[in-house]
Amino acid sequence: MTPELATLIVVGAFIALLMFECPIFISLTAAGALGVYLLRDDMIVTAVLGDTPYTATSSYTLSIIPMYILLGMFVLHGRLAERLFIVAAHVFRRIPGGLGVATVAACAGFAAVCGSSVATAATVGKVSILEMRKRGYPSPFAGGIVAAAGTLGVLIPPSILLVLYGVLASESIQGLLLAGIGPGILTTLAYITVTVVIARKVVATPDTPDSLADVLPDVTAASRPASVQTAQSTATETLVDVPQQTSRWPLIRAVSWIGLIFAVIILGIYSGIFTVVESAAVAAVVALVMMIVESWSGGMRRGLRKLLDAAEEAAAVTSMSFAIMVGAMVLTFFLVLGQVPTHLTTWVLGMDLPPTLVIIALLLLLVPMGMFLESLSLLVIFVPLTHPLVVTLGFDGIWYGLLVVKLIELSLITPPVGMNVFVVAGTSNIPPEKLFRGVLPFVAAEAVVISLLIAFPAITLWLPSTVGSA
Amino acid sequence: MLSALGIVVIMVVIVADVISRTTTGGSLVGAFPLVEETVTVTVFLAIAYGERTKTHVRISLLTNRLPGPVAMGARLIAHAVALLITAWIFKACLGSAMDSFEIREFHEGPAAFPIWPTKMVVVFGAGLLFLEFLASTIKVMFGVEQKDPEIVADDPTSIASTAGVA
Repeated sequence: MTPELATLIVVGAFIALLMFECPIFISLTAAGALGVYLLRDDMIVTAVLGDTPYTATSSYTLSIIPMYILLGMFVLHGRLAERLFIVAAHVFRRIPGGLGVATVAACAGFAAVCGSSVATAATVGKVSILEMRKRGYPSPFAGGIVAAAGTLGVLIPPSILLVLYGVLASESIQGLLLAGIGPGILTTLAYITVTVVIARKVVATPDTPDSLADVLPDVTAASRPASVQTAQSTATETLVDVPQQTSRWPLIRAVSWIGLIFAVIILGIYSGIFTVVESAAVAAVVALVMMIVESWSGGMRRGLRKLLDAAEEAAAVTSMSFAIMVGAMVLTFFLVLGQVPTHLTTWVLGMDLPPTLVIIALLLLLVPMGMFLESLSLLVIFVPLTHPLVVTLGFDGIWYGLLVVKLIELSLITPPVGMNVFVVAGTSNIPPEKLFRGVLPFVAAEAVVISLLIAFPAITLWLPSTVGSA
Repeated sequence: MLSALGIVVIMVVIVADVISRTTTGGSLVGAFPLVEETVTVTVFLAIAYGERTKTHVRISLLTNRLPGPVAMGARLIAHAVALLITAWIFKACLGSAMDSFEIREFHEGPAAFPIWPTKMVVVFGAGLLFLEFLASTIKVMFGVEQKDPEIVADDPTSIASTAGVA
C-alpha cells in the first residue's frame, strides 16, 4: 500500500476512535499499529508493540515529568494558592481592578511552582472568584480572569508540556524552560492590562479591601473544605475557626515557599549546579518539606496521608502521560516508516511560500485541532509532523515550541473543549457560556502576545541564548 | 500504592545522587539505571489503576450527543479495539520480556543493573490493563454508567485527576 493511502486510513481510524470515546493512548497506539501493518506486516507490529512500552518510558531525562507532577501535587496539598492570593490582593489594593490584578499575579506565582494550567485555575479560582464577585465584579469577568490567567501554568517553569515538546522534538529542555519565562511575563502583563481596562469600566472603585485583615475572613471562608462549610457560616465564625490565618506569618511563609521552590528550579536550569532533572527532584523535596510543615498542626499521620495521596495522584497522572507517549511513539514509528514528515516538508517547500506564512498557517491549524483534542494529545500528534518542516525552514525549534504551547493553551479557554473554562465553571457555578464571553478579551490579548512573539523571537530566545541553548 | 512508592523512590535516588556528588565528588553507583527502570515500573504499575479511575484522557464530545444505543455501540467498538490492542501489547511484551530474561539483559556500566524484571512489570501492567478494559466492556454492555471524575475545588485529588498535565 502507498504511504499516502495508509496515512489517510490511519488518520480516519484515529479520528473515529477518538470520537468513539476510546482512550487517547489506545487511539494513538491502534492507529500507529494499523499504519505499520498496512505498510509492512504483523511481525513488525508485534516488534514495535513489544519494544515501545519499555523504550519510550525507560529514560532518565523523562524522570523530570514525574518529578514536576509530584512537585505540583505537593504544592496543591500544601494549599499555598489561597495565601498567595491574599498577599497579592494586599499588594495590588491601590490600583483599579486590584483584585483582578491580584488574581492574575497569584496565578503567575502559582504557575511558578505548579506546571498545570487547569490546577492553577482551579486552586486560585476557588478563592478569588468569590472575592471578586462580592466586590462587584460581573461573574463572566471574574471567571474569565481566572480561566485565562490559569493558562500561565504551563508557560512559566516548571512546565510539563514544554518538557514533552523537548522530548518529542529533541530540543533542549533547559532552553525551553528558560524560553517560557519571557513570554510568561509578557502574557501576565497583557492580562493585567486587560483586567485593569475592563475593571475601570465595570467595577466600582476601590474594589480591593484597604487592609489585609479585611480580606482574611472572606478568603479563609472560601479556602475551608466544603465539607465543613455551612450555609450559616459567617466571616466571624471563620476567623474563630481558623485563627492561624489571621496572622501575617502564614502569608510570609507561603510566599517564601513559592520563592524557594522557584529558586531551586531556576537554579537548576540556569546555574548548572545541578541538572534540570535534578532540580525538579530537589524542588519536589522542598515542596514535600513545605507540605509537611504546613500540615504539621494536623499531626504526623495527616502529613503521611497527604504524602501518600500526593504520590498516588502523581503516579496515576504520570502513568496517563507516559501511556500517551507510548502511543505517540508507535504512531511516530509509522510516520517515519511512511516518511510522512519528509513528504510534508517537500510538499510545503514546493509551494514556495514565505516561511513566516507557513509558520502562521501551522499555528492557525492548532486552533481547530484544539477544539477537539486536549493539550497532551495535540502536542504528541502535531510536533513530530511539523517540527522537521519548521527547522528545515530555518526557524528555531525552541521558539516554535513556545508558540505551539501558547496556541495549545489557547484551546484551554476557547470552546468547545476549553478545559479551564469548564473547570472554573464547575468550581464557581458560573455557566460556561458566560465564562466563554468573559475570556474573549483575554483571547484577544493572547492573539496580540502571540503576534509579538512571532515578530520578535528575541522575547523568547534571549534567556535561552544566555546559556547557549538557542 | 507500589507505583506511588516508585515515584518517591525516583525523587529520593536523584536527590541522594546530588548529595553524593556534592559531598564526595562522585555519583551514586547505579542511580542512573535505577531511576530509568523505576520510571517504567511506576508507569506500568499504575496504568490499569489510571483506567479504573478514568485518569486516561478520552473525548466524549460526540458520544455525549448521540442517542443512548448508538453511543453504546460506539463505546463498544472503542472497547473492542482497546481489548485487541492491550492483548497484542501483552503478547508482544511477554515475548520481549522472555527474550530479555533468557539473555539476562542488563544495563552496561558499573552497576550492571538487570532490565528483565522491569520488562516483566510491563507485561504485568499490560495484563492488568487488559482485565480492566474487559471489566469496563462488560459494564458498557450492561449499561452501567461510568462517570468521568468531577473537579472539586477543595479536593487536590480531583483537581489532579482532572488537570492531568494540561
